Amino acid sequence: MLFSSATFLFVFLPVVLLFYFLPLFKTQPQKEITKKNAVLCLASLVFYAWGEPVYILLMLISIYFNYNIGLDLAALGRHPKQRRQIFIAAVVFNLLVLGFFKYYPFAVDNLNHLFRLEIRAAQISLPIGISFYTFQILSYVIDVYRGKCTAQKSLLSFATYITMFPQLIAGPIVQYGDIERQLRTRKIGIRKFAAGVLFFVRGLGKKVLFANTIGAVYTEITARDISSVGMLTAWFGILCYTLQIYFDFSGYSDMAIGLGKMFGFDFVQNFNFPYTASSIKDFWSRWHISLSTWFRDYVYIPLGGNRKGTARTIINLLIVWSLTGLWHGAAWNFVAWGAYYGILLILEKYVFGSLVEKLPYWAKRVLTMLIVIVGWVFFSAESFSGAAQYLGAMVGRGGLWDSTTGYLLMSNLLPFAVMSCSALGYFRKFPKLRDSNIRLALQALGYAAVFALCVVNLVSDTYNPFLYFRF
Amino acid sequence: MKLPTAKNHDLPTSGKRNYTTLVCLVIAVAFAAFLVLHTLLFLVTPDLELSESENRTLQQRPKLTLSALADGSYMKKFETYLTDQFPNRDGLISFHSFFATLTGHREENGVYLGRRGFLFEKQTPLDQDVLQKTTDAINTFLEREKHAKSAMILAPNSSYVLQKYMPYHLHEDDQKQQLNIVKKALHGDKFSWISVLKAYEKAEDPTTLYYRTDHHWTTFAAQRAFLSLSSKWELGAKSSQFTMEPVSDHFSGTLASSYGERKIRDVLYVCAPKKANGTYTVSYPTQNKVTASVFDSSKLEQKNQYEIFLGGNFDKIEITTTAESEDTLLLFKDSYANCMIPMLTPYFSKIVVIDPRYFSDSLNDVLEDTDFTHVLFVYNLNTFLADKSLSGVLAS
Amino acid sequence: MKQRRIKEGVCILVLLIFVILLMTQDKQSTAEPQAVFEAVQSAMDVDGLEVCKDERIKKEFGIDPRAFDFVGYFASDSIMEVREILLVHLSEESGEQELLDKITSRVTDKAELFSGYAPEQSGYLEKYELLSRGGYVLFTVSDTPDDVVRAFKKAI
Repeated sequence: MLFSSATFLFVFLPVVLLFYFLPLFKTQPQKEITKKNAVLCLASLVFYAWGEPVYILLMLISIYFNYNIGLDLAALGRHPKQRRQIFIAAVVFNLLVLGFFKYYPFAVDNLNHLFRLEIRAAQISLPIGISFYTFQILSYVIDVYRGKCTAQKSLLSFATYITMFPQLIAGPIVQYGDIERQLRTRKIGIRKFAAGVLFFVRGLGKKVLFANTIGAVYTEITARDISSVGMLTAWFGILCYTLQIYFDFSGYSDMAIGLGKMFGFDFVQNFNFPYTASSIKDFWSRWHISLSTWFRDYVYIPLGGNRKGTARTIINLLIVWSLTGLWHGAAWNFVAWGAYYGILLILEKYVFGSLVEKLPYWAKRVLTMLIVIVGWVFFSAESFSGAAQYLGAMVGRGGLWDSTTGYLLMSNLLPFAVMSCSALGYFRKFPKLRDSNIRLALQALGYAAVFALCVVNLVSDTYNPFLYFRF
Repeated sequence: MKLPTAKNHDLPTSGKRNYTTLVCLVIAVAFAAFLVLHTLLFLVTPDLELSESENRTLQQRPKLTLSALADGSYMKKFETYLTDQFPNRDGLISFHSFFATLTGHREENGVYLGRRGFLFEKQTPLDQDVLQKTTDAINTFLEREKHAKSAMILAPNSSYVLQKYMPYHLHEDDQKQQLNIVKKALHGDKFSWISVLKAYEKAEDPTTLYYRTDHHWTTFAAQRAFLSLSSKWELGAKSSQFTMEPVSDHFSGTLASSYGERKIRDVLYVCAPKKANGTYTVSYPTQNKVTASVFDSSKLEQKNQYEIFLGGNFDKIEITTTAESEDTLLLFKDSYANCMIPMLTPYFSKIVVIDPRYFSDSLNDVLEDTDFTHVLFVYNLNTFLADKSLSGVLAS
Repeated sequence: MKQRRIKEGVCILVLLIFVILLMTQDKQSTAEPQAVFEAVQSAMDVDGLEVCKDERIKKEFGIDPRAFDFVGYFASDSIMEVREILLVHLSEESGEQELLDKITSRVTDKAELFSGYAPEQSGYLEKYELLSRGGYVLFTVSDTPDDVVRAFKKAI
C-alpha cells in the first residue's frame, strides 16, 4: 500500500487511528501501551500484506529468528566465543536473505554473462521494503552484540519495531537504539499529533504535487529517441529528475515522520536540504541521512574507518560506497553511481579538497550540484549505455536545442521555479510575518489547500477517457 | 553519534501554552474531520455504473474472495473502486485540469491546448519501415488495377496547418516534408496525388479548416480537397452545386474529451449536393443494415456528433446511387473521409467504402464483384503513418 | 538456551522450505495439454467461440504451431469478438521469449485498433492475461480473465 493511495488515506489510516486511540485501559498505562503496540503491529502486517501477501511469511520468519538471536546474545554474556559464533551466524543469515531475494536474478545474470552459462533464474519478485527492514534488523543484532542496547524481551515490541508501517517501505532506517525507549513509553498527545499531521501533509504534497508532476517531464524526454534530444532539453530533463527524486524520497520520509509522530514516535530527520550542500561530503550528510549513518556506523567504522592509514581508508571508502550503490538496486549502474561518489569523496578528501576550499561559496555549491546532477544520470538510467547516451545529449550531441525545448520550458516554468526554490530552502526564510496569528492562519490554509490538491490529483490521475477518435 | 530528531518548525513553539494547544487541537480535528467527512460522503453517494465524460464503465465494489486476496487483484480493484467512485469525481477532475492550465500546463492525455481554444492532437513520428510496407502494398495494388484512375488524398494535421496557434510556439515535425516523402514513394500510370496543402491555400481563414475540439478536418476542408480531386478526375464539380448546412453548434469532439475541456464548442456542418439525384441506398453488409441516407442524424443526440456522417466507421459500406454515370469507386479510408463521402455520391453509380482497420474479408471478393473505374485513398497523415492494416488488406 | 536454538533452527528450516517452494513454483506441469485446454475453455462462457485450426493460429499470431508441443486456440471468427484463449505447451527447444513477445505485440496492436472504436472490446483487451507457468503459456482476452487464469492454475 502506498501512502499516496485512496485506500491508505481514506480507509486504512482512519481505521488504524481509531483503534489506536480507543482508550481500553485508561488507568493502566502499561497495558495501554501494549495495546497500542499491538494495534500498530497488526496494522503494519496488514499494510505489508496488502501489497505482498506472500512475503509476509518471510518477514515473520526474520522477526522471530532475530528476536531469538537477541535473547541468545543477551544470555551468552559469559561465553564470548559462542556469542561471537551466534552473532556471525545471525549476520550471515540476514545478509543471505537480503542477498537472495534482492540480488539473486542479478547474480545469475552476471554469472551467465561471465561464464556463458544459460541458467534460467526463477522469477522472484523483490519483497517490498526488504532492504529497509533487513538493515533495521542488522542494526539491532549488531547493537545488542556490542552491548550498546539490551535485547528486547517482548516479541510484540520487537515486531512493532521491525514492521512499523510508517517507515516500512521507504525509510527512514530507524536504528534500534533510537527507538528502544519509545517502544516502552512514549508521549502521545495532541501537540505531537498536530505536528505529525503537518509533516504528513507536507510529505504528501512533496510526493503527489511536486515529484509526480515534475517527474513527467523527464519521463517524456527519456521516452524519445535520445539522439534527437537537444542539449537544453536534456539538461532541463535531468534537472526535473533531480527535483523529482528529492521530493519523492524526502516526501516519503516526511510522511513517515509525520505518521510516526501521530503514533507518538520520534524518528530521525532524513533529509536536510541536500541541494544546498557545498561539498560532496556535505551533500551526503544531508541526503538520506539515516542510510549514510547506517553505513558509517555498521560498515565503515568496523572496517577501520580512517584510523588505519591512507591506503586502508581509501579502500574502506570504496567498499562502503560501492555497497551503498548496490543497496539502491541490483544493477551495475547503481554500483557505478555509488563508486562515483566514493571516488569523488576520496578525491575531495586527499586531492582537491584544499583547492576547492579557496573557491567562493557559490562556486562550491554550483560545483557540488553539477556533480550530484551528473550522478543522477547514472542513477536514473536503465543501463550504462543509456546513461552514456543521455550524457551525450547533455554535451550537445543532439544539437543545442530541439523543436520542443521552448515548449517544455514554458509549460513547466512555473512549477519548476517553485519547486527549485522549495528544494533550495528559500521558502524557509520566507518573510517572517510579525503577527504570528496571521502567519499561523496562512500556514493552516496552505496546508489545507495542499491536502485538498493532493486528493484532487490522486483522483484525476484516474481520468481515463475512452474516445471514439477513430470515427 | 545521536542524530537529531525531525522537528516541525511551522508549529508555534513559544507563546502561551494553552494557545498552542488550541492550534494543535484545531489541526488534529480538521484532519480527522476531513477523513471522516470523505467516508460519510462516499457511503452516502450511490455508486455509478458509467462515467459519461470518459465513456467507460467504472469499477464496482470488488468481490472479496480468498484467491483474489492471495494474488493481490482484490487490492488493486479496491483502490480503483475508491478512486472511480470518489464523491464528485468529475468536479475534481475539471478543477485539476483548470489548475494545471493555470500553472502553465498545456498538455493532457496527448492533447495540446493551443491559443484561441484550439486543441491539437500529437503527431505520429514517421516510421520508415511501416511507411515502406504501406506504400509498397499500394504500389503493387495500383499496378494490378492499372486500368482504374486512382488518387490519394492525404490530409495534414491541424498542428501543422494551424501551427501558429500551437501552445508556446511548439513546432512538431514538418508535415509538408512528410507528405512529400509519401508522394515520392507512390507511383502508378493513372495515379494522381492530390495536394491538400495546395487546396488549403485558397482558404481565406485557415481556422475554418479544422475543429477546435476534434481531430478531424472540417467539412470545408474536405470540400476543398474534394474540388481538387474533381478537377484531377474531371468530375466537373463546383462548390455552387453543394449546400453547406450547420447541423450542430455545440459539437464537442474527441480532443475535448481527452483534454477534459468542457467549454469550447464547434459548429458541425454537413455538405450535400443541392440537386438530389434521386434515391440511393447505403448498405452495411456486416451489420445487415440498409439505410437511405449517408447521414444519421440520430447521432446528433449523442456525445460524438461526428458520427452523423455514415453513422460511424464500418469495415465495409456499399453505396448504390441512381447517378447517371457508369463510374464506380473503391474507397480506402480512415474517418477523415466520412464527411467527404456525401460529396462523391452524384458522380458514381456505386461506391464501395473500405476501412482497412476493421476489414477482415478478402479484398479479392470485392474486386471480383465489381470492376472499379476509380480507386481513391483518403487518409489523415497521422493515421496513415501509423497504419499497419492497409498493407494487409490490399494484399488479401 | 537449547530451546531457543531449536526455535532458530525451525526458522531456518521454514525459510528454506519457503525458498524452495518459491523456486520450484515454476516446475514443469505433468498435466495433459488437452485436458488443460478443455479446462480453460470451460472457464469462458461465451457463445460462438470454437477451437481453431492451425492456419488460423499462424495467421493470428505469426507462430508456427508445429514448433510447439501443443497449441490450442479458442476464438471466434467474428471480427468484433475479441475474447479468446491461446494455450501453448512449450517443448524443450521452443523459444518462450519469442512467443511471449509475439503475443504481446499482437495484443497491443489489437488493443490500439479497438481503442477509440469499441469500448467494450477495448475494455477486454486492456485486461488481457499472459502468463507462463509450468511449461505452459496462457494468453486470454476475456470479460472474466480471472476465472480463466484460475482454471488454468488449477488444471496444471
